[in-house]
Amino acid sequence: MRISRRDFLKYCSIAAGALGLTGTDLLKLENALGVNGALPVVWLNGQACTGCTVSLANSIYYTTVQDLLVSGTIAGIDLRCMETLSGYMGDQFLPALSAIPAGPLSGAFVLAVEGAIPTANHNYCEIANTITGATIASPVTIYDAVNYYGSSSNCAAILSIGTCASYGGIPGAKGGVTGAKGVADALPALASKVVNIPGCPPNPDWIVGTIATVLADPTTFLATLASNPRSIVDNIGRPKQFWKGRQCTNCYRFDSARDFTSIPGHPNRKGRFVGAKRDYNEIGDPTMATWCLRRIGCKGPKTQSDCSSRQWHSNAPGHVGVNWCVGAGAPCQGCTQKDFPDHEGPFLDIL
Amino acid sequence: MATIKMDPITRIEGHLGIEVGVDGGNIVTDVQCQGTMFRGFELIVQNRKPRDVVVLTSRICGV
Repeated sequence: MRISRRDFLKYCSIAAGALGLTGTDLLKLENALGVNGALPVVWLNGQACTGCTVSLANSIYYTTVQDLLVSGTIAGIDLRCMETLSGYMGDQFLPALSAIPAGPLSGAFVLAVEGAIPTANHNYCEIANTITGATIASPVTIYDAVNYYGSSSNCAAILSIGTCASYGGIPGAKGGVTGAKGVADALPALASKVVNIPGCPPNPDWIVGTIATVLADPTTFLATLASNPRSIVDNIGRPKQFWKGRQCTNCYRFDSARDFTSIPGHPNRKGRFVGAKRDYNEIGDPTMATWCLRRIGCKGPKTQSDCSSRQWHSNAPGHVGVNWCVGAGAPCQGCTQKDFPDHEGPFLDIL
Repeated sequence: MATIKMDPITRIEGHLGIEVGVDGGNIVTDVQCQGTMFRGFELIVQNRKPRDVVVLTSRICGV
Protein backbone atom coordinates (compact mmCIF):
# COMPACT_ATOMS: atom_id res chain seq x y z
CA MET A 1 0.00 0.00 0.00
CA ARG A 2 1.19 3.48 -0.70
CA ILE A 3 1.28 6.22 1.89
CA SER A 4 2.01 9.82 1.04
CA ARG A 5 5.06 11.47 2.55
CA ARG A 6 2.78 13.72 4.59
CA ASP A 7 0.95 10.78 6.09
CA PHE A 8 4.21 9.00 6.80
CA LEU A 9 5.54 11.98 8.75
CA LYS A 10 2.23 12.26 10.56
CA TYR A 11 2.49 8.64 11.61
CA CYS A 12 6.07 9.21 12.71
CA SER A 13 5.12 12.14 14.88
CA ILE A 14 2.28 10.18 16.45
CA ALA A 15 4.69 7.46 17.44
CA ALA A 16 7.45 9.89 18.29
CA GLY A 17 5.12 12.10 20.28
CA ALA A 18 4.94 9.22 22.69
CA LEU A 19 8.67 9.48 23.18
CA GLY A 20 8.45 13.00 24.57
CA LEU A 21 5.74 12.30 27.09
CA THR A 22 6.34 11.73 30.77
CA GLY A 23 6.49 8.21 32.10
CA THR A 24 2.93 8.23 33.39
CA ASP A 25 1.53 9.54 30.13
CA LEU A 26 3.47 6.95 28.23
CA LEU A 27 1.98 4.18 30.30
CA LYS A 28 -1.48 5.50 29.54
CA LEU A 29 -0.68 5.67 25.84
CA GLU A 30 0.72 2.19 25.88
CA ASN A 31 -2.45 0.84 27.38
CA ALA A 32 -4.49 2.80 24.87
CA LEU A 33 -2.58 1.32 21.96
CA GLY A 34 -3.34 -2.10 23.31
CA VAL A 35 0.07 -3.51 22.60
CA ASN A 36 -0.77 -6.51 24.78
CA GLY A 37 2.47 -6.46 26.66
CA ALA A 38 4.61 -6.85 23.57
CA LEU A 39 8.25 -6.06 24.19
CA PRO A 40 9.38 -2.66 22.96
CA VAL A 41 12.18 -2.61 20.43
CA VAL A 42 14.97 -0.09 20.97
CA TRP A 43 16.95 0.63 17.81
CA LEU A 44 20.49 1.98 18.01
CA ASN A 45 22.64 3.07 15.05
CA GLY A 46 26.38 2.48 14.95
CA GLN A 47 28.58 2.97 11.90
CA ALA A 48 25.62 2.53 9.65
CA CYS A 49 24.45 3.75 6.28
CA THR A 50 20.76 3.56 7.33
CA GLY A 51 20.09 1.15 4.46
CA CYS A 52 18.72 -1.41 6.88
CA THR A 53 16.23 1.14 8.23
CA VAL A 54 15.15 2.04 4.70
CA SER A 55 14.79 -1.63 3.83
CA LEU A 56 12.62 -2.13 6.93
CA ALA A 57 10.53 0.85 5.91
CA ASN A 58 9.80 -0.92 2.63
CA SER A 59 8.30 -3.86 4.43
CA ILE A 60 5.15 -5.05 2.70
CA TYR A 61 5.07 -8.84 2.85
CA TYR A 62 4.50 -9.31 6.59
CA THR A 63 3.46 -5.84 7.70
CA THR A 64 3.49 -2.33 6.32
CA VAL A 65 5.55 0.35 7.99
CA GLN A 66 2.35 2.18 8.88
CA ASP A 67 1.21 -0.72 11.02
CA LEU A 68 4.66 -1.03 12.49
CA LEU A 69 4.81 2.58 13.66
CA VAL A 70 1.22 3.38 14.56
CA SER A 71 -0.65 0.39 15.85
CA GLY A 72 2.31 -1.72 16.86
CA THR A 73 -0.01 -4.68 16.99
CA ILE A 74 1.30 -6.62 14.01
CA ALA A 75 3.07 -9.56 15.60
CA GLY A 76 3.46 -7.39 18.67
CA ILE A 77 6.16 -5.16 17.26
CA ASP A 78 6.39 -1.94 19.23
CA LEU A 79 9.14 0.13 17.65
CA ARG A 80 9.54 2.36 20.68
CA CYS A 81 12.77 4.17 20.08
CA MET A 82 14.37 4.76 16.71
CA GLU A 83 16.55 7.74 15.94
CA THR A 84 16.01 7.77 12.18
CA LEU A 85 12.23 7.92 12.41
CA SER A 86 11.77 9.94 15.58
CA GLY A 87 9.78 13.16 15.44
CA TYR A 88 11.90 14.63 18.21
CA MET A 89 15.62 15.36 18.28
CA GLY A 90 18.36 16.16 20.73
CA ASP A 91 17.32 16.51 24.35
CA GLN A 92 13.71 15.72 23.53
CA PHE A 93 14.63 12.42 21.95
CA LEU A 94 16.98 11.22 24.68
CA PRO A 95 14.32 10.58 27.36
CA ALA A 96 13.23 7.63 25.24
CA LEU A 97 16.64 6.08 25.80
CA SER A 98 16.96 6.99 29.45
CA ALA A 99 13.51 5.56 30.19
CA ILE A 100 14.80 2.14 29.21
CA PRO A 101 15.81 -0.04 31.01
CA ALA A 102 15.27 1.74 34.31
CA GLY A 103 12.46 4.18 34.97
CA PRO A 104 8.73 4.23 34.41
CA LEU A 105 9.07 2.00 31.37
CA SER A 106 11.36 -0.46 33.07
CA GLY A 107 10.78 -3.92 31.85
CA ALA A 108 12.02 -6.28 29.24
CA PHE A 109 12.95 -4.88 25.85
CA VAL A 110 14.70 -6.03 22.70
CA LEU A 111 17.75 -4.16 21.47
CA ALA A 112 18.22 -3.83 17.72
CA VAL A 113 21.59 -2.60 16.49
CA GLU A 114 22.20 -1.31 12.97
CA GLY A 115 25.72 -0.58 11.83
CA ALA A 116 29.14 -1.71 12.98
CA ILE A 117 30.85 -0.94 16.28
CA PRO A 118 34.37 0.57 16.10
CA THR A 119 36.90 -1.16 18.32
CA ALA A 120 40.14 0.60 17.38
CA ASN A 121 38.86 3.75 19.05
CA HIS A 122 35.35 3.91 20.44
CA ASN A 123 35.07 7.61 19.62
CA TYR A 124 34.83 6.82 15.90
CA CYS A 125 31.11 6.61 16.51
CA GLU A 126 29.29 8.66 19.14
CA ILE A 127 25.52 8.73 19.42
CA ALA A 128 24.83 11.43 22.00
CA ASN A 129 26.48 13.76 24.49
CA THR A 130 24.91 12.39 27.65
CA ILE A 131 21.90 10.23 28.42
CA THR A 132 20.29 11.27 31.69
CA GLY A 133 19.81 8.42 34.07
CA ALA A 134 22.13 6.10 32.22
CA THR A 135 25.60 5.65 33.69
CA ILE A 136 27.53 6.00 30.47
CA ALA A 137 30.59 8.19 30.08
CA SER A 138 30.15 11.34 28.03
CA PRO A 139 30.21 11.52 25.04
CA VAL A 140 28.16 8.38 24.63
CA THR A 141 29.80 6.04 22.15
CA ILE A 142 27.92 3.27 20.36
CA TYR A 143 30.23 0.75 22.03
CA ASP A 144 29.28 1.94 25.50
CA ALA A 145 25.61 2.32 24.65
CA VAL A 146 25.26 -1.21 23.25
CA ASN A 147 27.27 -2.52 26.18
CA TYR A 148 25.08 -0.69 28.69
CA TYR A 149 21.70 -1.56 27.21
CA GLY A 150 22.71 -5.01 26.04
CA SER A 151 24.10 -6.20 29.33
CA SER A 152 21.05 -5.01 31.25
CA SER A 153 19.06 -7.91 32.61
CA ASN A 154 15.99 -6.34 31.00
CA CYS A 155 17.41 -6.82 27.53
CA ALA A 156 15.74 -9.95 26.22
CA ALA A 157 17.73 -10.27 23.01
CA ILE A 158 20.08 -8.31 20.78
CA LEU A 159 19.27 -8.30 17.08
CA SER A 160 22.16 -7.36 14.85
CA ILE A 161 20.44 -5.90 11.80
CA GLY A 162 22.49 -6.00 8.65
CA THR A 163 25.92 -7.36 7.80
CA CYS A 164 27.66 -4.41 9.49
CA ALA A 165 26.12 -5.13 12.89
CA SER A 166 26.45 -8.87 12.38
CA TYR A 167 30.01 -9.24 11.15
CA GLY A 168 31.50 -5.78 10.59
CA GLY A 169 30.48 -5.49 6.96
CA ILE A 170 31.87 -2.75 4.75
CA PRO A 171 33.19 -0.45 7.51
CA GLY A 172 35.13 -3.46 8.76
CA ALA A 173 36.61 -4.28 5.38
CA LYS A 174 40.34 -4.38 4.72
CA GLY A 175 41.86 -0.92 4.57
CA GLY A 176 39.61 0.51 7.25
CA VAL A 177 41.23 1.91 10.38
CA THR A 178 38.29 1.97 12.78
CA GLY A 179 38.38 -1.73 13.65
CA ALA A 180 34.67 -1.99 12.90
CA LYS A 181 33.19 -5.26 14.09
CA GLY A 182 29.81 -6.83 14.57
CA VAL A 183 28.08 -6.74 17.94
CA ALA A 184 28.96 -10.32 18.85
CA ASP A 185 32.63 -9.77 17.97
CA ALA A 186 33.03 -6.32 19.54
CA LEU A 187 31.25 -7.32 22.75
CA PRO A 188 31.84 -11.06 23.24
CA ALA A 189 30.23 -10.96 26.67
CA LEU A 190 26.90 -10.28 24.97
CA ALA A 191 27.33 -12.84 22.20
CA SER A 192 24.95 -15.33 23.82
CA LYS A 193 22.03 -12.91 23.38
CA VAL A 194 22.85 -11.95 19.79
CA VAL A 195 20.88 -13.02 16.72
CA ASN A 196 22.40 -11.97 13.41
CA ILE A 197 20.19 -10.80 10.55
CA PRO A 198 22.80 -10.06 7.88
CA GLY A 199 22.31 -8.62 4.43
CA CYS A 200 23.41 -5.45 2.78
CA PRO A 201 20.67 -4.50 3.28
CA PRO A 202 18.65 -7.37 4.70
CA ASN A 203 15.31 -8.13 3.11
CA PRO A 204 12.62 -6.45 5.25
CA ASP A 205 10.94 -9.83 5.63
CA TRP A 206 14.01 -11.19 7.42
CA ILE A 207 14.00 -8.29 9.88
CA VAL A 208 10.26 -8.27 10.56
CA GLY A 209 10.02 -12.05 10.60
CA THR A 210 12.88 -12.45 13.06
CA ILE A 211 11.61 -9.70 15.37
CA ALA A 212 8.20 -11.34 15.32
CA THR A 213 9.66 -14.76 16.10
CA VAL A 214 11.68 -13.37 19.00
CA LEU A 215 8.81 -11.33 20.40
CA ALA A 216 6.32 -14.18 20.15
CA ASP A 217 8.06 -15.91 23.04
CA PRO A 218 11.33 -14.24 24.01
CA THR A 219 12.01 -16.43 27.05
CA THR A 220 11.77 -19.67 25.12
CA PHE A 221 13.67 -18.20 22.21
CA LEU A 222 16.57 -17.14 24.38
CA ALA A 223 16.57 -20.42 26.28
CA THR A 224 16.73 -22.36 23.03
CA LEU A 225 19.46 -20.03 21.80
CA ALA A 226 21.51 -20.95 24.84
CA SER A 227 20.79 -24.66 25.07
CA ASN A 228 20.27 -25.77 21.48
CA PRO A 229 21.28 -22.92 19.16
CA ARG A 230 21.64 -25.07 16.03
CA SER A 231 17.91 -25.72 16.07
CA ILE A 232 17.04 -22.07 15.38
CA VAL A 233 20.20 -20.39 14.09
CA ASP A 234 22.99 -21.60 11.85
CA ASN A 235 26.67 -21.71 12.77
CA ILE A 236 27.14 -17.94 12.39
CA GLY A 237 24.01 -16.93 14.18
CA ARG A 238 21.55 -16.41 11.33
CA PRO A 239 17.95 -17.60 11.89
CA LYS A 240 17.35 -20.87 10.06
CA GLN A 241 13.87 -19.64 9.23
CA PHE A 242 15.40 -17.55 6.43
CA TRP A 243 18.88 -18.98 5.97
CA LYS A 244 18.66 -22.50 4.66
CA GLY A 245 20.11 -23.69 1.42
CA ARG A 246 22.30 -21.83 -0.99
CA GLN A 247 20.89 -19.50 -3.65
CA CYS A 248 21.29 -21.98 -6.51
CA THR A 249 18.69 -24.28 -4.94
CA ASN A 250 15.74 -22.16 -6.09
CA CYS A 251 17.37 -20.06 -8.77
CA TYR A 252 15.53 -20.18 -12.07
CA ARG A 253 18.83 -19.86 -13.94
CA PHE A 254 20.32 -22.98 -12.39
CA ASP A 255 19.15 -25.32 -15.11
CA SER A 256 21.07 -23.31 -17.71
CA ALA A 257 24.31 -24.14 -15.94
CA ARG A 258 23.98 -27.83 -16.37
CA ASP A 259 25.84 -29.68 -19.05
CA PHE A 260 23.40 -31.94 -20.86
CA THR A 261 25.69 -33.12 -23.64
CA SER A 262 26.17 -36.57 -22.28
CA ILE A 263 22.69 -37.11 -20.83
CA PRO A 264 20.37 -38.90 -23.29
CA GLY A 265 16.92 -37.50 -23.77
CA HIS A 266 17.98 -33.92 -23.03
CA PRO A 267 18.85 -31.11 -25.41
CA ASN A 268 22.36 -31.58 -26.61
CA ARG A 269 24.01 -28.53 -25.11
CA LYS A 270 26.63 -27.51 -22.64
CA GLY A 271 26.01 -25.12 -19.80
CA ARG A 272 24.94 -21.61 -20.75
CA PHE A 273 26.72 -18.81 -18.92
CA VAL A 274 26.52 -15.04 -19.27
CA GLY A 275 29.98 -13.67 -19.81
CA ALA A 276 31.44 -16.96 -21.04
CA LYS A 277 33.22 -15.01 -23.77
CA ARG A 278 34.72 -12.69 -21.12
CA ASP A 279 32.61 -9.82 -22.42
CA TYR A 280 31.05 -7.78 -19.62
CA ASN A 281 28.73 -6.18 -22.17
CA GLU A 282 26.74 -9.39 -22.01
CA ILE A 283 25.45 -8.36 -18.61
CA GLY A 284 21.79 -7.51 -19.07
CA ASP A 285 21.56 -9.07 -22.53
CA PRO A 286 17.90 -10.06 -22.84
CA THR A 287 18.67 -13.11 -24.99
CA MET A 288 20.57 -14.52 -22.01
CA ALA A 289 17.81 -13.82 -19.52
CA THR A 290 17.78 -17.36 -18.13
CA TRP A 291 21.48 -18.14 -18.30
CA CYS A 292 23.60 -18.80 -15.25
CA LEU A 293 25.62 -15.81 -13.95
CA ARG A 294 28.46 -17.78 -12.52
CA ARG A 295 30.99 -16.55 -15.08
CA ILE A 296 30.38 -12.91 -14.17
CA GLY A 297 31.01 -13.55 -10.53
CA CYS A 298 27.76 -14.74 -9.01
CA LYS A 299 28.46 -15.80 -5.44
CA GLY A 300 25.14 -17.68 -5.28
CA PRO A 301 26.80 -21.10 -5.01
CA LYS A 302 28.19 -20.26 -1.61
CA THR A 303 25.62 -17.76 -0.33
CA GLN A 304 22.85 -18.96 1.89
CA SER A 305 19.73 -16.85 1.88
CA ASP A 306 16.30 -17.19 0.38
CA CYS A 307 16.54 -14.36 -2.13
CA SER A 308 16.00 -16.84 -4.96
CA SER A 309 12.59 -17.85 -3.65
CA ARG A 310 11.38 -14.86 -1.60
CA GLN A 311 12.85 -12.24 -3.96
CA TRP A 312 12.64 -8.51 -3.26
CA HIS A 313 10.17 -5.65 -3.33
CA SER A 314 6.97 -7.44 -2.73
CA ASN A 315 4.11 -5.17 -3.78
CA ALA A 316 1.29 -6.78 -1.82
CA PRO A 317 1.08 -8.51 1.54
CA GLY A 318 1.92 -12.19 1.21
CA HIS A 319 3.08 -11.71 -2.36
CA VAL A 320 6.45 -12.88 -3.63
CA GLY A 321 8.84 -10.09 -4.59
CA VAL A 322 8.83 -8.58 -8.06
CA ASN A 323 12.51 -9.17 -8.74
CA TRP A 324 15.89 -9.87 -7.20
CA CYS A 325 19.57 -9.25 -8.05
CA VAL A 326 20.05 -12.34 -10.19
CA GLY A 327 16.65 -11.91 -11.78
CA ALA A 328 17.75 -8.45 -12.87
CA GLY A 329 20.91 -9.88 -14.41
CA ALA A 330 23.32 -8.78 -11.68
CA PRO A 331 25.51 -11.43 -10.05
CA CYS A 332 24.88 -12.20 -6.39
CA GLN A 333 27.42 -10.36 -4.21
CA GLY A 334 27.09 -12.64 -1.22
CA CYS A 335 26.05 -9.76 1.02
CA THR A 336 24.70 -12.01 3.77
CA GLN A 337 27.95 -13.83 4.30
CA LYS A 338 30.30 -13.37 7.23
CA ASP A 339 33.23 -12.30 5.05
CA PHE A 340 31.39 -9.71 2.95
CA PRO A 341 32.91 -7.79 1.24
CA ASP A 342 36.53 -8.88 1.40
CA HIS A 343 36.17 -12.50 0.39
CA GLU A 344 33.08 -11.96 -1.70
CA GLY A 345 34.91 -9.48 -3.87
CA PRO A 346 36.12 -8.68 -6.43
CA PHE A 347 32.43 -8.86 -7.20
CA LEU A 348 32.74 -9.59 -10.91
CA ASP A 349 35.42 -12.22 -10.52
CA ILE A 350 34.44 -15.85 -10.86
CA LEU A 351 33.86 -17.60 -7.57
CA MET B 1 25.96 33.78 26.27
CA ALA B 2 23.98 30.58 26.08
CA THR B 3 24.78 27.41 24.22
CA ILE B 4 22.13 25.28 22.60
CA LYS B 5 23.21 21.71 22.03
CA MET B 6 21.30 19.42 19.75
CA ASP B 7 22.74 15.95 19.83
CA PRO B 8 21.59 13.65 18.33
CA ILE B 9 19.97 15.19 15.27
CA THR B 10 17.33 12.68 14.29
CA ARG B 11 15.73 11.78 10.95
CA ILE B 12 19.09 11.82 9.19
CA GLU B 13 21.52 9.21 7.99
CA GLY B 14 24.42 8.89 10.37
CA HIS B 15 25.21 10.87 13.46
CA LEU B 16 25.32 14.64 13.85
CA GLY B 17 25.47 17.14 16.69
CA ILE B 18 25.01 20.88 16.42
CA GLU B 19 26.11 23.45 18.99
CA VAL B 20 24.81 27.00 18.70
CA GLY B 21 26.14 29.91 20.75
CA VAL B 22 23.63 32.67 21.36
CA ASP B 23 24.44 36.01 23.01
CA GLY B 24 22.25 38.07 25.30
CA GLY B 25 20.35 39.66 22.43
CA ASN B 26 19.41 36.26 20.98
CA ILE B 27 21.88 36.70 18.13
CA VAL B 28 23.68 33.57 16.98
CA THR B 29 27.39 34.09 17.52
CA ASP B 30 28.83 30.66 16.91
CA VAL B 31 27.73 27.40 15.32
CA GLN B 32 29.54 24.11 15.33
CA CYS B 33 28.55 21.01 13.40
CA GLN B 34 29.94 17.82 14.82
CA GLY B 35 29.93 14.78 12.58
CA THR B 36 30.20 12.07 15.17
CA MET B 37 30.81 9.04 13.02
CA PHE B 38 33.75 8.02 10.87
CA ARG B 39 34.14 4.92 8.72
CA GLY B 40 36.93 5.71 6.26
CA PHE B 41 35.64 4.75 2.81
CA GLU B 42 38.55 6.54 1.14
CA LEU B 43 40.86 4.06 2.83
CA ILE B 44 38.71 0.98 2.32
CA VAL B 45 38.41 1.36 -1.47
CA GLN B 46 42.18 1.51 -2.02
CA ASN B 47 43.82 -1.46 -3.77
CA ARG B 48 40.51 -2.78 -5.09
CA LYS B 49 39.17 -3.17 -8.60
CA PRO B 50 37.35 -0.07 -9.89
CA ARG B 51 34.05 -1.91 -10.41
CA ASP B 52 34.13 -2.95 -6.75
CA VAL B 53 34.49 0.68 -5.70
CA VAL B 54 31.06 1.38 -7.18
CA VAL B 55 29.56 -1.32 -4.98
CA LEU B 56 31.38 -0.21 -1.83
CA THR B 57 30.81 3.54 -2.07
CA SER B 58 27.10 3.01 -2.64
CA ARG B 59 27.02 2.01 1.04
CA ILE B 60 28.09 5.43 2.21
CA CYS B 61 24.41 6.23 2.44
CA GLY B 62 21.55 3.77 2.23
CA VAL B 63 18.70 6.26 2.08
